[in-house]
Amino acid sequence: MYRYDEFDAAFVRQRTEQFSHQVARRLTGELTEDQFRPLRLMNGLYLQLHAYMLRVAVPYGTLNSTQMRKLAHIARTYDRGYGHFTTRQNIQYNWPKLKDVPAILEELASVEMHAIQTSGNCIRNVTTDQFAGAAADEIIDPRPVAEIIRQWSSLHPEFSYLPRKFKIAITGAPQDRAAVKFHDIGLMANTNDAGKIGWRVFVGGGLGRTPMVGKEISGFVADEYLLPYLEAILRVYNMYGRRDNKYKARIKILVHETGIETIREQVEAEFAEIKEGVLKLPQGELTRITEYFAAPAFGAPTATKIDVAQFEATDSAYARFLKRNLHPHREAGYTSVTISLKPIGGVPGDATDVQMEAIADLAERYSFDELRVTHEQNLVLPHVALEDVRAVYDVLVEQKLQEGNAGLISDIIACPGLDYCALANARSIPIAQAISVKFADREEEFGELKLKISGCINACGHHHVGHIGILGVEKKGTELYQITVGGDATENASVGSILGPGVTADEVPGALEKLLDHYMAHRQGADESFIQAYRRLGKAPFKEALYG
Amino acid sequence: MNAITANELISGAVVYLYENGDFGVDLQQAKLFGADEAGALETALGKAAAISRLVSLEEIDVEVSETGVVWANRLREQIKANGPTVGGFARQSLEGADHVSL
Repeated sequence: MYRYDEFDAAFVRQRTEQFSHQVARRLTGELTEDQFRPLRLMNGLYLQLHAYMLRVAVPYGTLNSTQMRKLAHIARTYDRGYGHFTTRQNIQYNWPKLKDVPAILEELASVEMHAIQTSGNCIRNVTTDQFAGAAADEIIDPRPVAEIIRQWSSLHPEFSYLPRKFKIAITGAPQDRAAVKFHDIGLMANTNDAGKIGWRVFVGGGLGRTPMVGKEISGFVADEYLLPYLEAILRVYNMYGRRDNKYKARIKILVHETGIETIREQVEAEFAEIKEGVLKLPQGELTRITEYFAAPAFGAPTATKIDVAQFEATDSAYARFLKRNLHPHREAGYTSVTISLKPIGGVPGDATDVQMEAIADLAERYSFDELRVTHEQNLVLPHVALEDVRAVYDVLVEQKLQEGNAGLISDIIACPGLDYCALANARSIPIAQAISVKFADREEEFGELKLKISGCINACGHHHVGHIGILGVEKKGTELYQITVGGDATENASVGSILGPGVTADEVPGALEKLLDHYMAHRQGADESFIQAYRRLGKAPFKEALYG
Repeated sequence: MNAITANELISGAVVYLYENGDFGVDLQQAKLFGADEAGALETALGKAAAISRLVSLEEIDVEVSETGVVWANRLREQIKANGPTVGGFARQSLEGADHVSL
């Protein structure tokens, strides 16, 4: 893992002190709310329906056990004993008091964490594949480049007041688990004709009220030129992005209205000016950063595979966990374990302080002190020896975190919705809970199915890219839920289609049952997933199934 | 009818303007403004806007049931008045008191 150098430590400490003074001035009335609001947002502090919400950055979703214990401590000491892991691979606290926030930021700084740039019109936390550095299918570990992007984008003076927020995702594997085509910039590892590994660059992806699949702006950018290339994109966006209308201010609108060819010409012109300048990355610096992410000292494991079948009859819950929650590792005898934060009927993404501490212990004991937060609101132990999986599972059972449902219908992404969020129009969490309970006994037969729920059109719950998506709206004082089908956040990116008029909250589980029954009746076998069947059958029969 | 609500600065807790001029956490004690009290509502909002300890000040639509219970009309305001509908969490409390004397 990357460790702060003197510069990192100094800027986080200075920012913490600065914000502490700003809070003090606000509490004495020296600053008005109008003056204070942009300052608190720059430090990740929102005011939601019931209380403040503090969003803490987890750079590219990577944590160690010390940091996770600190997050648990903060949850217990300053909040209500839990935290909420988000689609940005961050964690949010829903109940901090303003007077306590300086102390929380000091606690975070003590473990090399902060809340800077988790809000505002700046470059946000870079996200990546939760299995980075571990996945068997990986071309290259994207974390060193993610860290370099973090350093470049942190407090970047030219990009602190962009037309709108800006999100970058990066994946080093051909199977995209980071939804890179739905980010302002998406990076995918690629190999050129000379066999050199670099980056395919996508620009103008996004969700929200205008969902767009990112367009390829470059097929290959080498590591040493990546920062100048990103800088060129940001400069073009900063110069031409709309500031007159916040709903048209994201780069996706600029790319859509201007055309990718023109944007590419503008970026290339800017890139030509700066590519050999100070941002050109020396190989020595890339090597230095990469060394922070060196593979752990894997031992010689005694087990090279787990015979799942032997548990099918005697311990079906464990067998299900093995089938669903283990991901192939690049090192023989190891696996990456997904810890589902989606217990049946639970709140997606929530973990208690006690659970966080237990997970930290697991990371320390069984995963070389590494943890990951996934954009699907789960946690991962990236490097677990197969012989240790049972011991890990037994602890997860004690903590009620043993659900073997990764990638199934109850592994739902859901935004906080109207239960917490000041922007939401409808609740998301109760809908997720009802669906989770409704299909608990059938979800294995449905197989892989991505369900995503948003409580408003801002789409924090990624509903546009759910195989089934649910969007909460308010009509005449009533919550209604529009159902979309056919979205996909992977390398086969697609935006879902709305099937028809919204249904009430009570009707949502039944509506989904109609869609799923139709899928089960018409799929070409258990190997054809819901999204594959949808692509073969088209929208019309699903619409017919739902509305008759 | 209308009531006046805000978030309290230190805790972020949802508060309502009471009859006695304090702001407190209980919607049932909120001062209610009838349709013919638009001027008084405007004046009260203006006075509240000058109070540094109030954030996100706004008027909300409410109704009073036959049994005298005050209900916020929008679900958003009902959730603010009662807390999240999931998780069993109580509403945010004020620091050391159930009202803010202003």
